[in-house]
Amino acid sequence: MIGLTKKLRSIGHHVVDAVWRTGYAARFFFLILLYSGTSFQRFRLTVKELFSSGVMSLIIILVAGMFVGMVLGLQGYETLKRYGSESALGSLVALSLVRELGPVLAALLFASRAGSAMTAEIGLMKATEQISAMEMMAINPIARVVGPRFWAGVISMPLLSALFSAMGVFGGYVVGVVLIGVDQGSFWSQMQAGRGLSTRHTKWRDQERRIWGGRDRHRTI
Amino acid sequence: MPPQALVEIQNVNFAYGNRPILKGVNLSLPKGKVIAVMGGSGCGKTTLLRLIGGALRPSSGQVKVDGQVIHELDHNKLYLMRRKMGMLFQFGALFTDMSVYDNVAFQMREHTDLPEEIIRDLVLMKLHAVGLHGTHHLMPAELSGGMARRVALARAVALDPMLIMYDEPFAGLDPISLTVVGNLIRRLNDALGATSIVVTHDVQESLKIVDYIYFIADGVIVAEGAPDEIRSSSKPFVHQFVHGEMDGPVPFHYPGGNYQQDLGLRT
Repeated sequence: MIGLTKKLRSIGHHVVDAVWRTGYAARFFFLILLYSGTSFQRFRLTVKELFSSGVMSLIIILVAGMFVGMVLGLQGYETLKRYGSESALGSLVALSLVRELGPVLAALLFASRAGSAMTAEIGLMKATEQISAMEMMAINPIARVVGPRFWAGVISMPLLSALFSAMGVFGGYVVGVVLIGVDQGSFWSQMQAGRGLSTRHTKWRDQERRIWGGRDRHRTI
Repeated sequence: MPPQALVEIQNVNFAYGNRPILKGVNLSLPKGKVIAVMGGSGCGKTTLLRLIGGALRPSSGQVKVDGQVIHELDHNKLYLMRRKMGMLFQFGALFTDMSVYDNVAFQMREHTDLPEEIIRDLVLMKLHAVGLHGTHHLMPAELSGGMARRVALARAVALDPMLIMYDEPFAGLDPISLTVVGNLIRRLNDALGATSIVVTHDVQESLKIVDYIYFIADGVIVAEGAPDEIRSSSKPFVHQFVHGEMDGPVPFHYPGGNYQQDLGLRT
């Protein structure tokens, strides 16, 4: 009986803790937004972080993008070949990168490279009382330390994701066209016809309509 | 009439969760004096500094700095008040990604609109005052412990504060650096016309430089007095502390129950 109570209590404790943490994270996020003035008034601070998170993540993002594109090119070719539609390779590589893999993988890589570097940096500042020292100097550490890093991430992430996709398309091109010998013209023209992000892509529009309801939200555009 | 007090701590209670740290502490820092607060490790000395700096709220009682109750100030007023305070952290807490120069210039750049030439002169003057002229291009990692502490001291007095707080300024220093830092605390205080509070457990060094000493134990002030009174005090706790005796009012053994019983011996 006591064991059961103990177990229930520990479950409750964990749940309360999880909810508390979520709330804390949300509060922290709003504080970042509230104090982001500094990040823009003194844009140099943000630029410095853009370098240390964005530029320093470039290598890993580019290399990973290249490899993902090469794998897509090879495996995509193997599958498409069976149906005699190798010419669609370009559109397969580009669509899957731009729509799905690019942002997700770039985000994961960014989180692991730049995110962990930031965590270690701020953790060290906390442990060596630099954060407390800043607070005692009447400088808000969220505005001075966290804000610029957050906005540097917001600015660099879409760019990194685009570079990831571009590098992936190049990797797909290297494998598909240069090494395997898919026709160069159809590789690029199918890609353009696929129109990566175009809203006029009817099949996707149907899908969207199914998800969001009957209204065709692209009609007005 | 006694000189006006810059900091007044009145009947302050503070607890971390259920663990009471301070139980009704009263002390005051007269303007222009260097005051030491001593006590064993974990007795709430650093907590006291955090209360004065407004980083913590007392659960009851009040901390007044310059006539204002710290925990009743709003965010902006608290930050204005903190600009008039300098704090030296235990291990300096220098910003590791900035040079010595940038560390000392940090507050001037954040809080003033001074042109860079004037900031440069001020930084060099502050560094000269702590005897470290010519180190401005070094990074904190290139400094020895004593030098880092002095740079942090220069940074703490960067804006000529009215109140300087020292959190264990003597921890981990060799005897020479110890004397240097001790003398700097006294000299900077007198040169700036500031008031200093030194939290420490280094008895011999602080007795040399301070005007008045408070002893904290078990969350209350157990003794106070000028250095000479403390040296010759016959109170058991003060005597044990000043002479560093192993056993006394502060017992050697943790109150851990019956030892013989735990070993399974018959009593």
